Amino acid sequence: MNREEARLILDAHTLAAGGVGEVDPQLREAQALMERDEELRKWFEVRHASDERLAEALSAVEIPAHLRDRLLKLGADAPPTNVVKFPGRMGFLLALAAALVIGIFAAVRWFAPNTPTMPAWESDSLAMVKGLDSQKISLDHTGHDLAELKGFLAKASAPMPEGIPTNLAPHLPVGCKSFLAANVPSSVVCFEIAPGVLAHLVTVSAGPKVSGAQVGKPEFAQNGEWHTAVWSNGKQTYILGTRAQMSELKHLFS
Amino acid sequence: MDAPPEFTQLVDMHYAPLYRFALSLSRQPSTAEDLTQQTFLQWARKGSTLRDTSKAKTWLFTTLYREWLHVARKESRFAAEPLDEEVMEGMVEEAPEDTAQVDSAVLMESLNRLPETYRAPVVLFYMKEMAYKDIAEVLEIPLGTVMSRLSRGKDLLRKALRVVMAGDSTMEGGQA
Repeated sequence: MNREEARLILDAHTLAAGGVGEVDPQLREAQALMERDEELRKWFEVRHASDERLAEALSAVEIPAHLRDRLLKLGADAPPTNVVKFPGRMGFLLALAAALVIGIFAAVRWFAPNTPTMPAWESDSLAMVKGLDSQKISLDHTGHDLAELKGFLAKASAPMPEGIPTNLAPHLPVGCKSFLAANVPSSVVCFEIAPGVLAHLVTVSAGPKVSGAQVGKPEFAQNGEWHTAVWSNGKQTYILGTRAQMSELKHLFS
Repeated sequence: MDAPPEFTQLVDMHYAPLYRFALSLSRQPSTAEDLTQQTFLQWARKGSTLRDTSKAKTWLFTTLYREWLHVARKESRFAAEPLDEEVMEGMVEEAPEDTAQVDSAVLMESLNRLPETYRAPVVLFYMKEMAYKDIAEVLEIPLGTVMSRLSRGKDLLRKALRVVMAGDSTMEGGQA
């Protein structure tokens, strides 16, 4: 790890918020480098003091005086439907109001927040795939030659997919990107499986013992409008994500 | 499974940071109030179904952020105002670390000048509410992306602070 890499990691830890930083081996390595690097240590101290002042300024942003009362009223007006039951006419009116609220939010919402059961490597990978698909995140390299894309990933010290699902291989790749999924080196290669429809093959440098993925047999799942398949070849773990229909995803493996 | 936190307790713990997050995203107090309300309304209806109640805070911030993305898609007026990153690059060579004179108004004005890509993680960071792993979960981006956006965003914020404070000084000088 060099000074710039350490600085990037330390910059995410200048304020005490607890959590992953305390056990992050990368943070420990950055802190060890800081112990030896006087310039890095001074930068961190100044940055920390400066960030504390900014955090204090943010905490001084005033909150509308009436907001708390309005929010508490919400809790009284919209109790969870599976806990409270009202009889008769009151129940009908509440059910009607609840149906209206559900209808409004169903119209504006694609899906509920992720459940926290998804492993970190998988949620990171899915976030990357969604970012690429929506073009919020850019590919590192574009091209239609899979061998060339693999060569690019090799130069970037990113994992290359060792195995590609049978019916995915004939499709044209469009590009690739390297990234960290839960701090594990990973890559993604995107394929166009139909006009305007992409499937993103993520390769994570972790075997089934780490990822928990089944060897050889893909596990299919749905996450909102996304369909995914997760499997391992024993050495690497893969997730193939697409917004195409589940049947189309399964067809890539048949 | 632990019982979900009481609604009042949850509001008291989180409504202020949620409102500040919403305000930094929308730059409109009324929109920020609406976003905060919609978030707690979602909780009132669906919070009891959350399997891991220790994730309540992350759930609330994720919900608010998704509500905001929906609003932002509809309201294109939110997209164009922040200063272009390349323009900010040209304003100041070195980002200042002296933040002693920064008050909440100057900070919010400076945050408003950041592209949203950076503004959301930077605000979540300065609220000291969550570690970068949680920020990644709320914004649905990889951990590495959070770190790079934080570092870059914090540098851009310092440049914006200098621009805003210089503007304030000029105005005060003109009035004197």
